[in-house]
Amino acid sequence: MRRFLILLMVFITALTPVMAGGSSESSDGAYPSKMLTMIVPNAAGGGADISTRLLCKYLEGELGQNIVVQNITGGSLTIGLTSLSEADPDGYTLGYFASTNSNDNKLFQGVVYNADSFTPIAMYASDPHIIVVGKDSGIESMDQLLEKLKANPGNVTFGIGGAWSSHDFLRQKFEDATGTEFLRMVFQTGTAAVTAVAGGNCDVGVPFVSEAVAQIEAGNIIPIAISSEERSPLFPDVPTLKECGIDVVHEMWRSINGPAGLPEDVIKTVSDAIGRASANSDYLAEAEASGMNVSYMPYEEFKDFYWTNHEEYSAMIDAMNSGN
Amino acid sequence: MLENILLGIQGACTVMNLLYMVAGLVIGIIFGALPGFSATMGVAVFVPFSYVMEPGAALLFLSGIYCGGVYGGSIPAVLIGIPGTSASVPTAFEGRALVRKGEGGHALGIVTFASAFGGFWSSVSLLFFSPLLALIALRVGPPETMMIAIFGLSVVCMLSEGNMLKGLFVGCITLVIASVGQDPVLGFPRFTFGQHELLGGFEVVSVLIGLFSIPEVFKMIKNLDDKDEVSKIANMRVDLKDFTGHIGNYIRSTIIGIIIGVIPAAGPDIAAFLSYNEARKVSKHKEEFGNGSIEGIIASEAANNGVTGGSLIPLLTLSIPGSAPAAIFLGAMIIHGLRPGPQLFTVHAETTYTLLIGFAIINVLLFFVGWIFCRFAGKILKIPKQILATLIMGLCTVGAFAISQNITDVIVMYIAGIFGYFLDKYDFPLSPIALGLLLGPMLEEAIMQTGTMFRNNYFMIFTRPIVDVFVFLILISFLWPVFIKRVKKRAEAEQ
Amino acid sequence: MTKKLSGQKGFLLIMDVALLAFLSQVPSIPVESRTYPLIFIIASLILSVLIMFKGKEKDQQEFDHSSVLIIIFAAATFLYLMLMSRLGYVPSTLIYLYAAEFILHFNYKKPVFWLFPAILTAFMYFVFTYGLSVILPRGSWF
Repeated sequence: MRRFLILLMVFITALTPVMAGGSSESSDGAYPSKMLTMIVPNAAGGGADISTRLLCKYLEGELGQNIVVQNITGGSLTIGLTSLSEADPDGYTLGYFASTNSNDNKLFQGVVYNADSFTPIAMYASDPHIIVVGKDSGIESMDQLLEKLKANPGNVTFGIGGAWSSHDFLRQKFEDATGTEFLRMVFQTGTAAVTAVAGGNCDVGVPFVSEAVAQIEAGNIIPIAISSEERSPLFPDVPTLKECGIDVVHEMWRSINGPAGLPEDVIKTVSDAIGRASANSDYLAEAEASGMNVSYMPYEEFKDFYWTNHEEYSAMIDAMNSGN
Repeated sequence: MLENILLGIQGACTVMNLLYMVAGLVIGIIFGALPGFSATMGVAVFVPFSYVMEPGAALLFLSGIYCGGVYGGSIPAVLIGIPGTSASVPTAFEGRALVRKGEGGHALGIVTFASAFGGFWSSVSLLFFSPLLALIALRVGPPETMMIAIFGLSVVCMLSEGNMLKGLFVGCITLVIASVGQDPVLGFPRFTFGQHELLGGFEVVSVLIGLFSIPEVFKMIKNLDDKDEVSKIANMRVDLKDFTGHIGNYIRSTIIGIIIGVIPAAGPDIAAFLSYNEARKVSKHKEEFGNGSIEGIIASEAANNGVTGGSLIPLLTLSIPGSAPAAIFLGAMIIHGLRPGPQLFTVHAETTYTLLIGFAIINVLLFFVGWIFCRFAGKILKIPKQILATLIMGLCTVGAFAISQNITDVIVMYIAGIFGYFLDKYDFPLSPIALGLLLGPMLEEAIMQTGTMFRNNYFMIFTRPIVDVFVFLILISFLWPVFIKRVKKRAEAEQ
Repeated sequence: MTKKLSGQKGFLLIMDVALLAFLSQVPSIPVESRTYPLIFIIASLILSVLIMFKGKEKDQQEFDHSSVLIIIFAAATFLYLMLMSRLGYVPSTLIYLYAAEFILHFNYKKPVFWLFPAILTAFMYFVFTYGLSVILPRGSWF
């Protein structure tokens, strides 16, 4: 096994340039003059993949070039992101990026990229979490949940879709804002957590809206709050956390990023194209049907947001690490 | 209901849709049959294609790939002893032996029939019992998942009978290997030795590709000059006797398949192993197992295709995918605006029932498409071994790369292969590795969640009825053979 | 039992070294997630010792011509992986497939010898690149 690991190390150092891919041929025309590659570090068929493919379908029209979506998976998303960070910054290799990724090097040893390794281009979607409880839990509102929490500190189970996932960070924010404490119950996916809540095996779940719709409609779980700034059009009766008196807004945003050092004109072109796509009513209709929450933030705003967000998560990770 | 079914028949039986089903089946069988390619991968690479189709046609196309993929893995398992997908590992134990006996055609015939049988009844259960069976998915919480994982791992003991120490050793070391990567509670990177590529652990599919293909390739090389190898599969056939004589086996295996399908964490591979295990326990011809047992093939094939329909049950009703390909299926449904849930059966009834009826039709078509395919596939025995060995290596490499499009997985595949070669050389069983890798993460996660649920008081699991049933089943399955032996001995003594 | 270290024992010892390497990592893992792997590491170690003393050993074949073939074949595969990152998928696969046929003594007077690697490589490349949108490794030397 030792030998294997040494071998692996040799290989990886030798192979990383390949995975970057893409030849750096100079374009005579304006950007983009050839096919683009979009790296998605998640597996095909998941929420990240679906939303990126949908966006790319409309981006192709806006940019006038084909976009090949490449699912480079494995290593808990770090392999795909490493490939993105090491790609040529010519604008022909872009990638999917989500809210928690800029701190990966803080979470895992061996991760070679950091927040500086990417050029934030634009946010295109942002998914709120919906706080749900089982139908037999006896809880029907946020007040009741808080009451129960205060009566049994550290004894109410909170189902999250993986350690260091967006779910986990929401739990941290919620606990900080309300001075309560949950008992973490970790699942591998948000769907698995919802299933456990529906089956009465877990008290509270915070799935993304799209993960919960079927169970809510089947009447197995009750939504009690949503973590976005405004109420969801799908569930207009569910109050936001702020309306419940809890000062937490938490969404998992999805963006398109490039490797560090992208030229300004490339950033501008892509960001504007995403903006135009986001105004396309066909796109919006398809996005709604697929349960994705379109939320466009252009480069000018997003570059600052990217860093604020990075600092915020970084602080939370420190707090969580010292807490554990 | 009847109205909806008629609507579904009308929707599914258009010429275009039937063509899509056949196309899906052919693609699926090819993906399943090529070592290094799997049903999950087939569905994954074709999901983007389906985005541009009509919703009904897209889902039928993907269903075809799914069913074909699960079936197709068994063809190379029989012919060259390399399971095309992990769901065909038990078939590989028996199929190769039958080919050596000159009964290759018979084996393939039974594989095809049992797969179609399992798949068909699975789709019938999907059509009629969805709401009922979906409840199982909800009832199965962490403690139940834990018991299923333990029950599944107990199959290791059966697979390594007569070689128990080695079987257990392989099982334990695999569970250690399965724990590489982020732990399921804190996300701490365990045993990654600073390599971020290993954060998610080893890619199970690439390990299994390497483990089951490369040792076979090496064996081929070892026997290059062996002239008396069988190069014909004889006539494809299934006799009425093959059905009437094993009705109980067919029904039991299909039910195991459907139930494992409904349960979220377990897929066709686990179903095949469990069902194979059960078939052996109740068999009157235990000695045939491992030496070309028809019963073993029926059990594993009816169960792995039984999963297909079953895994869609929790998916359609509650958006819980019952297997890995079903999870990708979910993506395809969502992109077509078909969000799983009760609405699917009312608002989108036309598309949904087209899918449900189409799924049954696909499994009938599977029999015919599979039959034709096998007649061609039998020819691979005629390929010179040098070419076959080279071909398999080429396919495995590109297949392992395509799973996650990174080279780490290809390296993992080769290392697993060499590891597998040595294990095989020193007479260690390989199949516990498949079980350990598939069930290990599931077991640990379930243990941790159960601990959280009951605040580490594990005795509380006995308050759950399903757990008690499982404990009872496990006890029975271990004590029954002992009991039977006793009875037999006594009977012999009296004579 | 012979005094010479048998193949199986050697293999088990390698496994044990690997297990000990894993064991050395255990203390750095947080307490919550340490027990589960620890149990199986220890169980594996105990079982390996038991096998060494009790396990039956299959009669090993002599080290013969076919073993040499396998080693050469494995080495070629190893080189193939190294080359793939440098030359890219298509050239490295072509070289590897021809080399593999050659190593396995396939008759190079048959046309299949020359056709098969070319057809397989081209087929894979086109199916994956154009059919399935999977980008195969590109070489770093180009």
